[in-house]
Amino acid sequence: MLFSSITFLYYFLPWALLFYFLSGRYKNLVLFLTSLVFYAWGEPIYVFLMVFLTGIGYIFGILAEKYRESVWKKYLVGISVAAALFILGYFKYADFVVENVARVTGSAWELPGIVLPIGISFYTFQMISYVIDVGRGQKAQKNFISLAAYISMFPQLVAGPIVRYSHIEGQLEQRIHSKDMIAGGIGRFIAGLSKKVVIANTLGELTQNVLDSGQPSLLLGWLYGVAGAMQIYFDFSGYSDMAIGLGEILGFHFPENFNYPFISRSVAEFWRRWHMSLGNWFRDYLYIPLGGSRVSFPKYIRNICLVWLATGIWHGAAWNFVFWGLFFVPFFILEKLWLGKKLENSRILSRCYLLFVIIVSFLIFRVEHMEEVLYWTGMMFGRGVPFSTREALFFLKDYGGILILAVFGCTPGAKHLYVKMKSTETGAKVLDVLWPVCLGVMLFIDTAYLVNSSYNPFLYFRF
Amino acid sequence: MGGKRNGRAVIILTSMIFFGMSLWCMGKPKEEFSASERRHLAEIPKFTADEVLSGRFMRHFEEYAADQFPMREEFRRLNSVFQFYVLGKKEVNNIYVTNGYAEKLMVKADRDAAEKWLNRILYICDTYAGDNRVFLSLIPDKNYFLSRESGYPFLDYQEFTGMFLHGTRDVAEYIPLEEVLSLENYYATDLHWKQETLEGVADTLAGGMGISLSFPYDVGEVDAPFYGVYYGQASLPLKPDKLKYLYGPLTEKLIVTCYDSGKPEIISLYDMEKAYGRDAYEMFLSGSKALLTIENPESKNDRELVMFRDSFGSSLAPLLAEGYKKITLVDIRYISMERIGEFVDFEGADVLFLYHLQVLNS
Repeated sequence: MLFSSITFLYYFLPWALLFYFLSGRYKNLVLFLTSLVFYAWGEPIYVFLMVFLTGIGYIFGILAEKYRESVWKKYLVGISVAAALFILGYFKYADFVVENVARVTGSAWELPGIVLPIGISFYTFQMISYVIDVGRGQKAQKNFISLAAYISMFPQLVAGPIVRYSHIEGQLEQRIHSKDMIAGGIGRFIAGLSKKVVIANTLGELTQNVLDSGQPSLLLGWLYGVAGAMQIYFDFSGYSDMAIGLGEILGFHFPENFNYPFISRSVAEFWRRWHMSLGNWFRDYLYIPLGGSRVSFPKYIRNICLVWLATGIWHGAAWNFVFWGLFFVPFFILEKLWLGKKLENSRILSRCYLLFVIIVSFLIFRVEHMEEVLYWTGMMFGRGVPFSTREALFFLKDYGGILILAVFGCTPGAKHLYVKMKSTETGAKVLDVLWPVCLGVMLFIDTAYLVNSSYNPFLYFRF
Repeated sequence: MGGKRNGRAVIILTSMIFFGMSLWCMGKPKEEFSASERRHLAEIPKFTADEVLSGRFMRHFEEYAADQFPMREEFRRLNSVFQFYVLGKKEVNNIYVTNGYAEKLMVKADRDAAEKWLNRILYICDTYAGDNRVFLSLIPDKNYFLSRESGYPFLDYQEFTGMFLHGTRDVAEYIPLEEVLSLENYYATDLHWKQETLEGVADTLAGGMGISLSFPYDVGEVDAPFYGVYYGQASLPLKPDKLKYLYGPLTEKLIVTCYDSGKPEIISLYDMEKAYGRDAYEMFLSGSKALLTIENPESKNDRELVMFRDSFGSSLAPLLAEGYKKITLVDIRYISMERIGEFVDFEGADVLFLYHLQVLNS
């Protein structure tokens, strides 16, 4: 079930929340059951896989705590992590591995055609982080329902943010529900829904129109690059906002996942602002255990390569994701050696540098074949194409409004405006009235977009 | 205090919306079809173990939930108005509005579709009309007149029509219509042309086929607003059109016979019931029919015409009937080409292929 769907907004969410708030001390059970319904809606079979993985985490968590002082702890944690990675590897990477081995060896193996269960990358990582944290001293969760509620929690189950068990343990046992938190969560959810439905989906329409266009030009190339990068941002950050907002409504504080990454001035800064929960996960469970940057330079390069290889592969089982992850490695190294200091001297140059690197990186992220990256970057530099065509200019005019809104939304401008208004007496009074109305209007507009998404006209009546 | 009031207002207002709309979704009577989209709306899917385990129930339920959403047309209008007037989009749902006219953007030539249509025309010519005088005429859409001046991208018309001209150069004589058409010949909210403005078109076609017309008609008007196909699709506040038709002593004598049911059935030239129905343009020859004839008992000659056409032919054919004893109208989208010979006599008849460019490009 998608958050941005009529089914979720008007058939699932109100009633799930109503049962949740009426359930008294059974909130975790209701949360777990509603999350199962939520997940089973998209994966009626693989919901059992998620429960199975939760069971592994539960059993091995208890065992790891029991044998924490003995050598068995390492094996118990290792077995559960291996089991989780095996399951993830099988469902996500089996086809990719078989395809490439067959290509290299020349065998005519048939692809297993394994279906990728939704959200498996997220809930597997949450389970792994739970078991590792228990191994490191975290108290194990004895209540299966509480652990299951944590792993399967519908706000962050399918698209994050990746929530560490240690972060949420106290909140599982006791949560404070306040009007402010619930109202804040509602606002955050609706803002995220608008980002996804109004901005991201419209930018997706633009990128598709560009792909369908038969008239390449420099302007078309930049439209694709810029719109494509912003589409990914608003799609993902919109979903994160919805997840965090839903978490707040339910009484949980989830970690932030995005912090205006496009205002960064270096690749290193970008990755401190983009998909922060994933970056932190790899930092804590892979990079630091390998030694991080406090090792010799060759080992530092090794660590960086491994982390970014893992980051790329985590995003998808295809070579473009591998290249995408590794694409950042030279920039990290260059910035560490000398480029970082140079970038600090010029805001404009540093931002232009970062934006160009990110636009190219997202081209790699989106393509099926690497030649397409060369095609689009060549177009962006005007190689063999005119500056513009009538069609490209039309796209710019047609989507100009949404592009301006998206660019503004990439900056903290709106947030600063809100904070500034709230800090004054008049502004606070105006917001008191305006904010609820704005949220209501945004919700209606988002609903209008969702209703229109099923638009499927015919010229003549179809009976 | 202000913050608490603000928080309470947010919770109350949004809860009302979520719960209110949810109850409305579940309680409202289901609607069968969408007039604006001209299709059936999704019904609630079957809830069976097989449907659930396969995921089909969930997929179909998503379609059902969006299709049956309360005030669906109003929300679609909100979407269009927001995109058009707030975000400044130049088109919504691929429909654009300029100079008071709504039209569907047509930018890319669908070469596969065009080739299929060309092959159909050539098949008919080879199979049935080898000895006949064959004519081809292509009707430009409103894009042809609108898009250049208003900055919208447009199809390369010369290249597209050139495909058909080149393909039929040995079998058909081309009668161009671009010079006798302008924007004023078309409805603002519909893709079709206005019958009352077609004297020039009828004259041009008649002249090309060697017949003459006197055009002895008065103009009648349907006293209800005509909301064309683009009105519903654009979902923007547009002024409706006025549906007019041409009538006179001649039109009253024309005999229209429909063969779609298998048996000949006499129908009206103008179906006035349909003029007030879901698609008012269907008043012309009762809409989409596979096979019709129009007989003119007052014809001054024995000439016959076989017209292969789309819906544009429905409003034009009555005007050509003055010059022919019998016009047979065939819509090959609804009849198998291999069986045309069973129903249509091509002996000595003129053959006219008259198609709108949007049909050939889809």
